[in-house]
Amino acid sequence: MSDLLSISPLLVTAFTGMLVMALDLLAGQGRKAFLSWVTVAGFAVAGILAYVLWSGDPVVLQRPFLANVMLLDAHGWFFSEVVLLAGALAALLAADHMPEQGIDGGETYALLSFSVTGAILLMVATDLVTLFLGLEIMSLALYVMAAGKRSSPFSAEAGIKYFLLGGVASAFLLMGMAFLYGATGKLNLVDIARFLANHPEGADPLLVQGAMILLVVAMAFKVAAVPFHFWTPDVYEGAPTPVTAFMAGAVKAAAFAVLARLVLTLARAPAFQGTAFSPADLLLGLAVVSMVVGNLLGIVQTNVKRILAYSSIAHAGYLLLGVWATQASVSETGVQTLNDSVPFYLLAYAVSTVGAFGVLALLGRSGEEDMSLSRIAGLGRRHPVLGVALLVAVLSLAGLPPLGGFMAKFNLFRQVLAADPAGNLPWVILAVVMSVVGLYYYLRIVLYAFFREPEGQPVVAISSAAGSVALAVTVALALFLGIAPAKFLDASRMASQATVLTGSIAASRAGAAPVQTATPPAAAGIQLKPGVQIPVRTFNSKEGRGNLH
Amino acid sequence: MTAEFVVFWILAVASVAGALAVVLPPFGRNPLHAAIALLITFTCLAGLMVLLSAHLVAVLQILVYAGAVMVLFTFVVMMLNLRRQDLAGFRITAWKVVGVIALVALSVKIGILLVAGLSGFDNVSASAPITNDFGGIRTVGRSLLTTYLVPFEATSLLLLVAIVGALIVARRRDGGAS
Amino acid sequence: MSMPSIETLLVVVVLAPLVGAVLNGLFSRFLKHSTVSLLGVGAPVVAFAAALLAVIQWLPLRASLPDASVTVMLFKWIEAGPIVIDASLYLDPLSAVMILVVTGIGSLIHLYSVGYMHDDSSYARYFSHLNLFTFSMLLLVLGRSLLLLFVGWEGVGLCSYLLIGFWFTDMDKAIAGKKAFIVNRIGDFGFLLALFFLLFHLNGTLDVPSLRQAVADPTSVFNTDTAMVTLVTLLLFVGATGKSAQIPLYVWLPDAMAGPTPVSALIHAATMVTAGVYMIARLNFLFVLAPVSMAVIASVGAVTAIFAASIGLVQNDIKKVLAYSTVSQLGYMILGVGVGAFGAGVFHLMTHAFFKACLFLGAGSVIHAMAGEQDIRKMGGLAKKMPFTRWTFLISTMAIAGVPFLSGFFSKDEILFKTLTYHHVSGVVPEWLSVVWFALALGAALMTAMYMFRLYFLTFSGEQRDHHAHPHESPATMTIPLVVLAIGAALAGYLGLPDPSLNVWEHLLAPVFGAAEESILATGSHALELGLMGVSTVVALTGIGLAWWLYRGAGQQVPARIAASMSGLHRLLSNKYYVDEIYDTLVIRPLKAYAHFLWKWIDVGLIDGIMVNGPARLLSAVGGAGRRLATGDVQGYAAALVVGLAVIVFLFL
Repeated sequence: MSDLLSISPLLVTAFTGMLVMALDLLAGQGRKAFLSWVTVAGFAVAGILAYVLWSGDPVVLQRPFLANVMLLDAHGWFFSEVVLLAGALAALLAADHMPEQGIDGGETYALLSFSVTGAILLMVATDLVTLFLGLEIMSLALYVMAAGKRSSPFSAEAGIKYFLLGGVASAFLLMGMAFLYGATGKLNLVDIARFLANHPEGADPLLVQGAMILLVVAMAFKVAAVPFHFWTPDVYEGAPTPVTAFMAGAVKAAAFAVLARLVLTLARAPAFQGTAFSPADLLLGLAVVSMVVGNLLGIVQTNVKRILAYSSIAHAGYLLLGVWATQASVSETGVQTLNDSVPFYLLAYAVSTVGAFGVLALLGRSGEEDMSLSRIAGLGRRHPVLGVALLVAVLSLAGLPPLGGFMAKFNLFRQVLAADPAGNLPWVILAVVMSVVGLYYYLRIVLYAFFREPEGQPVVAISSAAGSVALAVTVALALFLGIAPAKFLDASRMASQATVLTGSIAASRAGAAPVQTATPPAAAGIQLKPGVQIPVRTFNSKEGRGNLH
Repeated sequence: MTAEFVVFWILAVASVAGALAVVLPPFGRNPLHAAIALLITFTCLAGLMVLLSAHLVAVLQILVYAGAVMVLFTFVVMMLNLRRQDLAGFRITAWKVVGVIALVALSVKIGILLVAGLSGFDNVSASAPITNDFGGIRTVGRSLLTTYLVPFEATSLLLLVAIVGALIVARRRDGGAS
Repeated sequence: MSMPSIETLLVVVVLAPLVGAVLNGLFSRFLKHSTVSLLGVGAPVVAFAAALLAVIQWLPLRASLPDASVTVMLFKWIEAGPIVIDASLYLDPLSAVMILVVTGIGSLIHLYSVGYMHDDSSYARYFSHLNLFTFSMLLLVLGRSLLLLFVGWEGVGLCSYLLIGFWFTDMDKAIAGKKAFIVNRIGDFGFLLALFFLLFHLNGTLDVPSLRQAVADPTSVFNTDTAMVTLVTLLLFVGATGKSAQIPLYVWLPDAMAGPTPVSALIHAATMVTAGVYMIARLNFLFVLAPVSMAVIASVGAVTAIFAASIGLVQNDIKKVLAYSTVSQLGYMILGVGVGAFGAGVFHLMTHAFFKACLFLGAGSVIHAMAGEQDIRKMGGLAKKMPFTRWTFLISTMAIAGVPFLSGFFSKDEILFKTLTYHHVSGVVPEWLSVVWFALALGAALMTAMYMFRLYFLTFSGEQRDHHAHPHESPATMTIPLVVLAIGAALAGYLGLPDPSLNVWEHLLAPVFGAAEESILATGSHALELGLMGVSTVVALTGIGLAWWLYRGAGQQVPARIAASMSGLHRLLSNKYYVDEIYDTLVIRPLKAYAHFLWKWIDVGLIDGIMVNGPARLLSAVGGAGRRLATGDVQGYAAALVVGLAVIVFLFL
């Protein structure tokens, strides 16, 4: 299989963005809605390609410059599908929402495509530079999209806030990567992990620990975990609603995918053994405060978008708990793999939260930005279809059966408990209690939508065929994930087993297909003087991924 | 104590001081002064690159950042002709106080850790002797277009997004005005 | 063109009604009246055609199939540790018969509804619900796992509720719907408990063929833990009493006549109410292991049969008579399966589906003609004005009364025969009990003949007693189903002739019931069976004769005199033994009082007041304090980021 084909999902999403930009020029003013369908088509093609190409064993890349920086496996596949799904749904929701709010350009779809491209690159990257660039592409496009609503100062504020704070988080991430590079002299995650395992004396533990803290903090910012969550409610509220949907659904999935891969891959290093610092404690701490703070602050919100933002924070807490409670791998002794149900949880969460924001995206005429609870009063009576979609989404977020959110939460907690029945019980109990607390604000949305009469001018729904399709998909999926989750749970298991990168996987695979062992230095294109090595070459030589075929 | 060591500390302190001057009063209150402070940081960073034998990056740092980017900044600042009162007043909030305390505490803690525990970068077994043309155009160019082709291409996508974003954000000003 | 495979056809059978229900349910606003009819009727017709094709293909193959069955795996439904439940369809002789009955008779009733419901403003909703019912019933019948069967079971219950309360603006009808739903829930609870016991105390599978295999193993838990099997079967039977309207849960069925008449015909006569019988027949291998349960089932069936028949004698509402008749006939079927005559029970189920559906549709035709009048005392003389309705009604009445050579005769007779000989094979049942059941069943047969012909005579013969209405024959969409069903009512019995060599029915169902029936093979002679046929013929004719004498002939004053002289008995019967009132006093009122206590004291006082609002107020206070931290100031947020990092560094390094 040619490499170009192997990475085609990435190329297709990037190409979709450029195609949309070109078509944007051709399309007349006010006729840009079809670009949404172009984007969806592009994402669908990418999704299918990813399914065909990536869902099995890890793809063997011939070119070292690809094999060194990315790993196309079930991990990348599953999370890419989640991101593509959330992206496609956001594009559909944007089709009529954006013109209504005075954002009539096609650039939203182009940026959305680029953001998705960045997210996929981020999730398949094994090289720290590539990973960082993926994150930046994803984020930069989001900053602009968040500020996309020209007429609204809130939107501008959301964009600039997200940009500035995201910049701080990126700085943390970059610093963490610099520490790792300083400690190991390598940029490839597998190489780093193997170096840390094989040369415990070579890497300064303090640097590695510092790197771990910085990486976790930066990713905790992206997944909106407490105490790095402050931007979340403001940005979720200010950004155009379809963009918020994408942010909540796709970015969270991508960020968690990377968080889990980075932390769990590095956490085995000897640098963390026998010291006061353990990455697990850090994750657990973040998980606990996120669950508690997210749910408690959710209670006092009066704006639906802010409620959902705090819900997003609380869900980050449950997910961190899932990432924290690794389980013994089936394949290798001693290696912990990501909790089986975390990928499934992210899928279910993405579907539900996009559904909830999707309903809000279809509410409100031009300039109506206020999404207070009182504004959705009586929604169930005036727009029963939207009401039901909101109900399904919100109840799924709350984790009530028979919806996907329930299956996700149930499996996640079950797996956390299974990892260590006695030790983890208090945390699972806390998570369950916090879920019950969360029920309060979820049900408040339901209460307002179905049992309150509107005061004053009720919010009006905009008619949107594309948006209806998106909502139908979220409702159907939320139900399907709850009723017949078996296939998805299998896929989730596959993804989670691929999440943690292990050196031995690379080694065993190189042994199985011994092609091009010891890539000649010339192949890397670097003229070397005899006996002299340059630092970058450690990257694809003896231990490098260049052997991976 | 080698000359390199002395130069490093001068550059390091100057670059941090310059960065602080960008945001802190009194320079930070005047956009033009802030820009000049930033220029100091950029130049010092270029010096640090030279110390690391990264000559090409050092030159680029001067050309692109100290040259083009700075000129652009200065142009914009002067064209907008912002006055002191156009900038939001500086308010001291509880968060900022706590933040500064935390920053100071963090710095002290890291300092203590560095002094007490860091065994340094010199024993990192991965760091190997470097080549003669390390950091030169040829080496960097080759590695960018071979080993680091994917990040290189990804950067182009990042720049594309940045350009599109800049246009959109700039256009909103027109849209808002009309 | 090659024929689609059985598997494909079975999927079509199930999905066609669902598609119809969804289209009519969601898009009715955009559909024309005629399109609604086409979709509504087309769905079950397609299902029937598919079912017919599937069965035709399956018939010659069945000898070579394991258990003569075909399984269609749809998807893996639940996988939780050791419990794996597939959603798969299962075609075997029993379900083959059932899907033909459900889709065949269902199609006719859908067609009939086109005429009957023509002017209703909620025409599309009606067809949507009716299609959804058909879908659920097919799921019930075809589900391979008991859990899938249970989904169908609940689905038909839901549709029954929706359709009984179809005219929900009438409070009484809405209440009747609720009553049906709630009473059914009691039965469902028993069913669900039985499933749990099966899953967690017996061998942990709900897959019917696997259960059957497990039971066949003499060392399995089923053959050692008789107490548990008895408990499970009794709980299952509780479910059956709810759905199949047996004592003590029959009370919802007479009230269910509030729904449109075709609904009564389809749901409350031909299909849904037989679900309990079907379920017992489906699990026959389990029930035969618990002779005590079998005796309980037979007793309840026999008592229900005569109890409901006696109430039917004095009812004046045409649909109420048929409703009690249905309860009584269901009692017969339950008695049949209770004495191990599973084939006979299901046989009666099928013949009953024909004649009772025909009777209900006939009644509907009469009500239609009488402009909504349902009181038979105000009818009479309709024979001339409604020839199709009259003749089809007569044939069905004769069939249910057990007139020789019509379908009811054969099926009822077989149950009677098996009842009388049951004590030979059951270790638990003494001879006298067998005889008592037989006597009760025979008494019920006599009463059935009487009240059915009373109904017929009062409705169709003589002169019209009330001249407000101008009766007329119904349109073709209504009479065609009547004729087809009447033909079925007359001839369906010939599938199960009382001669072993001619009995197609038993031969067909042998793979399902063979083993169970063999284990309790009746030892009665062929001669006894023929003799009993004579007896039941006499009983039927006596009943008909009595009805003639009392309502057509010389004895027309007698009923009034009997009512006067035995006013107590008459009042007891007219008021249906005061069962509703007794339930109200003994169950409903205490429950309401208890619920009121829970609501006022526990819920509002303790839970809402202290346990819910208390923490909620506390949490709100905490959250309110936390909210003040989110100021919206971006520099503050950045500072918070640094603080967070500092805290982590200080905690961990």
